Amino acid sequence: MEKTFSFLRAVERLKTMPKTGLVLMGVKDPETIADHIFFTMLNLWILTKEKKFFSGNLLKVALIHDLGEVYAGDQTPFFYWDGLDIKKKEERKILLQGVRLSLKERRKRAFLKFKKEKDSLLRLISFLPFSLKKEIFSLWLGFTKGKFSFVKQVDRLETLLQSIFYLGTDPQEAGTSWLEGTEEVVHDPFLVDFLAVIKKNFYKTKEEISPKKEKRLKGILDFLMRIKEERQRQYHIWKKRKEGEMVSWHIFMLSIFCFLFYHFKDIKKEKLIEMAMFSHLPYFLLGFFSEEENYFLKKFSFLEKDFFLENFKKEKKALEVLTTPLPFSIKKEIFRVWQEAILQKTRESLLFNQIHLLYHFYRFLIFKNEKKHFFKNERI
Amino acid sequence: MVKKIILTKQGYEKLKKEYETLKKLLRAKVKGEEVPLVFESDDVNVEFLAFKDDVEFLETRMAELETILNNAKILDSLPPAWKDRVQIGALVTLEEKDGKINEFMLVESLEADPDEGKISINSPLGKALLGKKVGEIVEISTPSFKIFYKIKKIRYHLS
Repeated sequence: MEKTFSFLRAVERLKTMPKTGLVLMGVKDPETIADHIFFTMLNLWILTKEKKFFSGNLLKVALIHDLGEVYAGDQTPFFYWDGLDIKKKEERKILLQGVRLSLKERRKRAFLKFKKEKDSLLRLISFLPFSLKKEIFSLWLGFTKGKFSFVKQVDRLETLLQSIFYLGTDPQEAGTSWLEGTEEVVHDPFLVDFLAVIKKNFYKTKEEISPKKEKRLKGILDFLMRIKEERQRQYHIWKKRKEGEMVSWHIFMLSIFCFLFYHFKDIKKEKLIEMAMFSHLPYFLLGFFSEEENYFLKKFSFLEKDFFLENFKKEKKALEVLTTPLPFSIKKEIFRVWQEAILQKTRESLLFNQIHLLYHFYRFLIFKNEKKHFFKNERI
Repeated sequence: MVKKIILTKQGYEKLKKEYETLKKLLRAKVKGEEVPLVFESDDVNVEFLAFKDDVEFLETRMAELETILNNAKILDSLPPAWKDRVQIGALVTLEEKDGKINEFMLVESLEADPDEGKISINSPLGKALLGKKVGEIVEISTPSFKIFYKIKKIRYHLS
């Protein structure tokens, strides 16, 4: 268990590890890798539902796809620029223009990146028992070697949305590399349509797409950008407090907990990860609790008779506001998952809530360790 | 008539290898492991469900691969119409205005691996390149920017 604790502490580094590309472009408060993983999972879930495509273990793949960056860091295209003393100005130039390489050079760099991330991942999962080690490594290997190409394409689309959100689409400011890179990667017809909607809305291109499809995909796009806005709003609050946990980070870590501490073979881990995502989605609007608030809330909430009902109504309203742009079928599905997780009437939701409590206990232990003075007069 | 899937020799070999590995795995799973009993008690045996899930997953992927391999055509000769044109399997060298060289290989979506420069013919860039000749200009544009590529070279590595 001590080793698992070390694994979790290492993974937590991703919560505050910013996306290198955005830092180099001078973005002040960029998304972190944990944010990116959360958004990739959210995009993937919604897009697979819209495509009516059985996602299988893709949600798990999205969750672990960047774990190799814990020790290797987020690697940008110029990472292996041999013999070139990269200065800030040059880094920016490369990022603006995108990478132009021969096939041989591409393969060489892909191999080096793969090796670095593989070593990092192996170091990270060395803390875990064999079965989990095997599961994480095989999913990651599948992702990097192109077995889960749908996740890779969604990952790339999410990076494009990230660049649009932080840098806009002006080539002088944002460059062209994000869009160029996405146009190379995305090939699934459904995702090509989604890319067309992104281009039409943000790059003002003319795209041929049926109005019905466009309306639905535009709704999804608006929803995803709204969540990004709410995340950014929360980040500014978090920055002032410098404590507590943002909702996206909370969902990311909780999903990792669901992945690690769930061994029943008849229920899919994806179901629990789904619950982790949507039971917390309203908090993008309601805000997050600081650790102190969280502690007292958990401690005394059961004394309040109407606490549950009040909270239920508040969350439902927030969820309604957030999901407004989404197509009805997806909205309905999100509400179903949220309700299942909150009402705790199914076996899955009961198990999920136990894992959730376990995660809060973990957070509490860390907080207790960090702020010993706070608990001096408290009996826990 | 089922549409033929054109694969490079490496791509075909890779998929075939995956198929063989899965076949071995499935055999080992059914033979090696004791198949859990369906009715051990009044409840559903979860071990059996998990076993069934694993087997089903392997079988689905195998069926998918079987369809691909049965309908695959290895790119071993070049149809005359393809000569000097960008088609599946082509290694395309592009040159930008400032002389920068960019290379891609065009493949079926199944083989796509953008990290290694293998891009799908169904990707927006793949679609833009498909059918073009040496010397032609490919344009990637939005109202705010335009990128021009000149097709410098087209090569095919046939088996």
